[in-house]
Order: sequence, then structure tokens, then C-alpha cells
Amino acid sequence: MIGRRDASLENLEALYRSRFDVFARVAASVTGDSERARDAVQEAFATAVRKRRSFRGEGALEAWVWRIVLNVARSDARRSVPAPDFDEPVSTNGHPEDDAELRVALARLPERQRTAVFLRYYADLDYAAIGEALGISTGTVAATLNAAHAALRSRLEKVRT
Amino acid sequence: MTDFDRASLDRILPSPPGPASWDDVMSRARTQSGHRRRRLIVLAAVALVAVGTTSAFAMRAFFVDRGFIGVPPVGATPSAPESGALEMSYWVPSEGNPRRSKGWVYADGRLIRLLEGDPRARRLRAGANRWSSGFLEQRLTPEGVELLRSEIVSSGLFGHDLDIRALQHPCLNYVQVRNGDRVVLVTWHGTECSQKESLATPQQANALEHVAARLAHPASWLPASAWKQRKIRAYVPSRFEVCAWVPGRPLEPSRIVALLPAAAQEVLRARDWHAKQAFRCFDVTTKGARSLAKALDDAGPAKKGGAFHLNYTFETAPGASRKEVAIIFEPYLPHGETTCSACG
Repeated sequence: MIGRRDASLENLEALYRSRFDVFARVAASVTGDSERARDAVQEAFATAVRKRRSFRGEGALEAWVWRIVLNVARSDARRSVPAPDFDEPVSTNGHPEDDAELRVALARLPERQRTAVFLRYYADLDYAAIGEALGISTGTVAATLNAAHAALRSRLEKVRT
Repeated sequence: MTDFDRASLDRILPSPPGPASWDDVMSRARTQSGHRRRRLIVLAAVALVAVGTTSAFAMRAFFVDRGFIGVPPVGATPSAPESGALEMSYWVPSEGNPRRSKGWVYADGRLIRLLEGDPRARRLRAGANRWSSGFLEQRLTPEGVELLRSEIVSSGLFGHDLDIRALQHPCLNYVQVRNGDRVVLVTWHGTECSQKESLATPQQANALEHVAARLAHPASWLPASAWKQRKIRAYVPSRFEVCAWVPGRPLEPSRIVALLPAAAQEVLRARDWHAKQAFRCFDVTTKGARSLAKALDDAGPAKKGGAFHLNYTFETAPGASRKEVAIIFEPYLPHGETTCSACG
């Protein structure tokens, strides 16, 4: 994760260029659609550029941007019309069956738990940064991830027995 | 974590749909700033009006972010203004998904599109289902409209109307665009479907490919400054054309209606019907279309379709000369015409 920095245009651009894929893919877990996720990331970085002077440097710049990205993605998800039932599951990069159980188990988690899992294990954010991104305390992050672990373990064991 | 690591999450998460573009971020930041200034001005104006009036009714726009088939959700804000002058229209093929694109570009900047998806592939962005996007709306700036129009005209195909054949193209494709004070129509046909037109020269074939690619994916090449609203929303019409069709020779509306269940007859009587080729049609507002669809839902056993457009197929009573009646809903576009949604 990119740590404490001031929110200069150069730092935002560097963060964007180095982490665009990570932002877009995690945002897709919120919007349910990779095109809309890309749009959310673009809008969020534009907001970060516009509001960069309000960043007080109390946490990591990346965590601050994550918070904006997730807010935009959630707002997009709330506005959208639910997808029809026959929609395909999200692409799995050529491994359609390998992770099917895990994908289903993740999809059934509450949105906050699922996002916390992606931020921790895919975006490599520490607990403080996840707390900043989700607007919750570090203790709540730990509890959220514990709950996610327990739910995933239980669902995967149920499927495999 | 017990059962997954970064690699498994990497496989589960969808790939980003396109490359990063910092220029686009900066352009959006400038647009947001402009919107914020305008919002402040509008808010100030609204506050003044609210102070000056004894009551105020809050109206909130409700935009639909995904295409839909049939009537829009209750409360959806119709596309405004209700009518618009057409600058360009097209129906072009493309590689991959979408397979075909229909589009209408208006002088006021509206770009309305209807895309035919590949049902074997993932659903189109903001699409209604895997077969069709439904009608989608974006908005171009005046400069964007001109950029799109001039890009197409500069292909060299639009000096005069043209009707030609092209290899490996669908049966019917066209682009109609304003060139100066004339509207030029270029139509091309797949060689498997037609033999009468002359075959496109290599230069014409290249130009057709170029034009089709540009029109099928305008967001891939139009700069951020060309867009007033790049975000895709559903096109919400103000009116619908409802058409009845029976296989065989066209019937008078009264005879068509008589073939339907009593409850359907009730809601289709006393309409101002007009003939449209083999169809018999009437116009309704979007609110009226919604009520009518609800009434047809309740009118009796009918096959309801919705992959491309909303339609009901009623079987006629045993012994009737005609076997079925189809009722089809098509939205009116801003230039006052409907299109055949199921055609592309």
C-alpha cells in the first residue's frame, strides 16, 4: 500500500497509475459490473483531484482515496436497476470452475465484509487503512474480517461435505 | 485466511474493462468543478424562488442506469426535451460484442443507442439483457456532435447517396448523416443477402469498416471534452407506439381487437389507430403504456416476451381464422419515430 503522502497532483497521479487495476477490480465487487467500476474509479479520482486540499494527511493517502472510490461505487450500485436473474457470473479470467464455491460464498457475504476481505487480502491494506476506507474503527475492521472468515469457512465446509 | 489467497481473489475479480486514463480523470475533475459552480448558482436561484413562494414542491430526477425492455420504472425521468432534430442515424455491424449498433445523434447532443449483444458473451455495459442493451442515452457537447459528424463525413463515402454491397457484412446496414445542407444516406448490404447492387471498391470497403468501427465504439475515440454526459443511462421515452399484428393479411383494428380476450378488448377499444405496413398501431404516453401493459398482464393467458421489446402474444379462440395476435410496444425516439427493436 502507498503510505502517508500529501495529496499533491503528482502523488494522486502516481497512485492512480500504479494501483488503477486494484481500485477498479475491488470497485467491481461493489458495482457488480466492471465498466461501471471503471467509471466509479475515474469519478472518484476526479473528486480526489478536486478535493485534494481537504486531505489532512492524518492517514494514508491511498486509504483516503479508497474511501472516495467505495462511496462512489456504492452510490452507483444503489442507483442501478437489479440485474436479471439469468446474468452470467462475473468473469473469472479463464478459471470458470476453480473458484466457483469461493465466489459464491464471497457473493453471499454482506457488502462491508466482502469489501473488507478484498481490501485486506487483495489490495493489501492494513487494518488502519481499511478502517479509514470503510469509515469504521480498527477494532471494527478486525471484527468484520473475523465475521467474514467465519461465514466463509462455514459456507465452504457446508458445500464440501 | 482458510481457503483463499491473493491468487484466488485475483481469479475471482473481473478484469478492468479498459486501460487507465489520467487525462480522463483530469477532464472529469474540471467537469465536476463546473457542475459544482452551476449547482451553487442553481441552489441560490432555487432558494430565492422558495423564499418568494408560499409552497414549493420538490422534484427529483430519477435516472435509470441500465437499459430496460418495455416500459420504464415508475417515476423515471423522461429524456428531455421530448423532441429533437436528428443529425445522424446508423445501423452498423461490429466485431465482438455488441454485434450490431443502432444509433441516433441529435443536434441537442443526445446520442441514443440500441445495441445487439452476443448472447454467448457477457452482458453489454449497462445492457438490459444479454441480447439487447435496450435504448441507452449519453450526451455530447455541440463540439462532440460536430466531431462525430465530421469524422464520419470525412470518410469520403458521403458525397452522395450510395447503395452498395460489401463482403462479410450483415444483410442491411446504413448511415444517414447531414453533410452541409443535405442529408446523405449510405446503405450497404451483405453479399449473401443481395446481388443487385455493385460491390464496394476496396477504398469504399475500407471506409465502411472505419465508419462502422467509429460508430460502434464512439467512447473509444471521442475525447473527454466531446462528452457532456459520458455515463450511460437508459433512454426514457415520453411516448410509446403500441402495435397489433396478426399473421396473414392485415386486418382492420376492430377485427383484431375482437380476436382478443374480453379484458384485453376492453383496454384496446376506442384507440386512435393508424396503419403501419402490416401493423395496426396507436400512440400512448409512457404512463398510458404502463397502465396498458399492466392491463394486458391481467387480461388472460398470453405469452409475454421481452428480450428485445415488450410484446404479448394472445392465442385466439378455437375455430378463429387467425391463430394468434401479437401486441408490441415500441418507444418513440426524440425525432418522432419508432424503430424495430427486434431488428437490431
